[in-house]
Amino acid sequence: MLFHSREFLLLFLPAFLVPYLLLRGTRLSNVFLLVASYVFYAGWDYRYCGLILLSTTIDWFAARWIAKSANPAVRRTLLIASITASLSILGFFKYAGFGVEVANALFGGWLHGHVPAIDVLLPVGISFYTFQSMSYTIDVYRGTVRPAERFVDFACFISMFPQLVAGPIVRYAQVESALKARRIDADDVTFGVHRFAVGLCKKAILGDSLAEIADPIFASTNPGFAAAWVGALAFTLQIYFDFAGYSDMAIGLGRLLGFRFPANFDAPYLAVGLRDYWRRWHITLSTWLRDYLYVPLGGSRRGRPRVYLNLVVTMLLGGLWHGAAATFVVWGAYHGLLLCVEHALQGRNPLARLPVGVRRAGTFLLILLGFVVFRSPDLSTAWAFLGAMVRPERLSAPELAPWSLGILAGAMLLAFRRSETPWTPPFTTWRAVAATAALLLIGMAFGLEGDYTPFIYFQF
Amino acid sequence: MSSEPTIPPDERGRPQRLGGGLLLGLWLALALADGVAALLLPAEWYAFREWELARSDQPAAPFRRSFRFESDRVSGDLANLARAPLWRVFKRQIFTTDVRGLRNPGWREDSRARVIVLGDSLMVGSQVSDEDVFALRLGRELNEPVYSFAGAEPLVALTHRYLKRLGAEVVVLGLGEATLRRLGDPGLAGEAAPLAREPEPLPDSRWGRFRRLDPARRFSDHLVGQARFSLGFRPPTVPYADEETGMLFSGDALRAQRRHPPPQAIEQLAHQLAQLARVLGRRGLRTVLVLIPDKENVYAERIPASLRGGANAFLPGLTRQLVAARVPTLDLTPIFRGAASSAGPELYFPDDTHWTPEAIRIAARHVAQSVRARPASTRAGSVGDEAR
Repeated sequence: MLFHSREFLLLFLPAFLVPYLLLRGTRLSNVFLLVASYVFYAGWDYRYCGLILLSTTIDWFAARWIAKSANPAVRRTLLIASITASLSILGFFKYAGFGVEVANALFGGWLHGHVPAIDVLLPVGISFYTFQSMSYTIDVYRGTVRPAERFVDFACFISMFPQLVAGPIVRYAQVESALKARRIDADDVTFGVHRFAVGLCKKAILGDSLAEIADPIFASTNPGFAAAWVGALAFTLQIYFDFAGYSDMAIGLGRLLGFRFPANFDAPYLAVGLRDYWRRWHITLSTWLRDYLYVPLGGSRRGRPRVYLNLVVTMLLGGLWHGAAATFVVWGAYHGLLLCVEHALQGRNPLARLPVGVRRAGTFLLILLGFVVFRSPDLSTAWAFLGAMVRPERLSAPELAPWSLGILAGAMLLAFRRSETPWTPPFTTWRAVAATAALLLIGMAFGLEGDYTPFIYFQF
Repeated sequence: MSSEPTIPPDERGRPQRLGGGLLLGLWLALALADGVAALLLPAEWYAFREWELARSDQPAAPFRRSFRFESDRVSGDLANLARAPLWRVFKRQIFTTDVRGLRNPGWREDSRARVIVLGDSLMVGSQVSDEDVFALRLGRELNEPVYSFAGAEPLVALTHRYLKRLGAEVVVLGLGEATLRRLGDPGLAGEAAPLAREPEPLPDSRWGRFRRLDPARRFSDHLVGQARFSLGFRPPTVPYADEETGMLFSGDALRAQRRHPPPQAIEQLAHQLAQLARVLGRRGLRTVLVLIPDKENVYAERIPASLRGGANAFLPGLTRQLVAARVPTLDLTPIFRGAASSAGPELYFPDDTHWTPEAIRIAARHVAQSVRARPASTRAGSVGDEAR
């Protein structure tokens, strides 16, 4: 059930919201939210509801035992067991097939034949809820949060439908108090509907229109110079509006339900440099990787060579988190290397003297090139596509719909705004209320009309 | 990052106190209106054709039994699935089924039929009215009653008790290029295996059945879909529209044309079809296989080369294989291409993937010749050559 589908917009959400708001944040509302979240997830594949429940149960018990135990060795063993279990589930469903492919490619000869292929359907949102439940156990181990008192509250935290399938990756501490007691007031409703409407428009109008430009170009076997650049630009903008749109909808829904989810984007294409970019793009993933991977690896405390290694390992794993494909690994490594270069030039970067606009444009170009690899089905296609982008002699104009350039220009203007939303509640004028109602209606009309294009980040 | 300013409660104006509630109320009102419309409006109001209303989930009875649909506003699948309402071409249609859930308008139960028709939606006659259904047209050409099992899976139809009572001797199996490509797609291995795959069961509830054609969506189609289509955005379902003739072309068909199936796949499909003909032969039934080209194949010259790819070798390749396997086969491609190049009526509805009454008449005339041809000549695989 996609957020912009009729089933969600006009059936599931209204049917859920009315009784939920009537429960007024009582303890029963968590039970109701939990049941609704499992119904929501079952809309994709009811068989995998058991997997979320398993993951939830493992981390629930692990965290409780960790909190109860005073023995550091036991606590450590429990933590390792919990992380191993979570990563094993994630690894099997997400990476087993890829692992077998790689093993066959590398060692097929030695193995006297091939390891049989593993073909399992990827459970939607597994990367998101696994990271969320792992962060909870680690935080309990570190003593930064106390374990949840009720299983229902914890299960609700893991499976809450607004952010279950594509984030933002929420930490337990961020919703702990709301899980125990929450009050939904007029401002929450205003902010929630407004943020959802903004996200709906980002996804259904901009994201899907940009996909109609990018998809045929990436599908063509031999794009020309201009087509390749238009395709790369369109996808770079599409992935932002698609994912930021989803995040806005999730944040808005969370607020309607009485939760304040963390921001996931902060005008990422205004970034000056790659470090700045990763502070603005998919913030909840980059901070997760920083807090639970980069810092434990030593962060920037153990000398330059170790910093570079930590950066590359973190970004490689960040790339691999997106999917079991060589393109994501290369994309992660590319960002890791760029971060190393930036780190090495720190304090004596000759480019730092350039005007901010030029540095911003340069950063955007580097991000765009990375997204070509990210979007391509395999490395050879990515290489051919990048090749087309540096061969101006093959300047064949792409076949574009008359309004494609208008959409691209409009999307560029909006992507380079400083704010993620055009205006911010609370509303002091009726005009702002009317404008939000218009956004909601237009977003719904576009959302319902579309082919229900899945969100790009649902596959991760 | 945008921060959220806070205003003290006593300074809050009415927009702030009431705005959120009004927005939420608007949303709930829309949901209610959509639900009420879906429950209370007759399904015919938002269904664009007979197909979704008539289909059943029973393998032997592909449509609702003794069902009658009558409308003056039937329009094509391409215009509706591409959400381009202004490109619809409205036509009158009467769609009647018999007591067995098969489309045999006016069939008398005591009649016998030497010839029966099997096949996909083209042979059923989606979009055309009862008087233009292929079986009826073929019957007129042959001057004898022809019974249609079209829409039912072939082997399911052949186990039908009614078949014995009909006294059938000849089976005309007509399959569209899209169906044949799907059956022969190596990615869908096994689909062709028995050629008796049961039809996909359809959800019985109105919510499920009209998921793509619900009231809210129909409304947004008119508002947004048409605007996008008019502005030049072509959805994947219909990537090209010929402005001059108003003809829409299917994205599925064009993608299939660009993806040349490997010779083994065509060989495999021909083998399956030949096997089916042998099964029929053992039951004393002579098969005439009719291959019906897609609109995108017949009107290829109206589509930019970049969209349609190179020469379409699928049907000629399949025909060669079938003739080699001694299956009497009539490939309608050259006949239709010839008819399309003359100034006559269109052979396919501009807003739909299905053929027009004119194409059905032409096909019935040529198929009648094949049916009349003595088995000795058809066994030699000369039907395809004869048609050329």
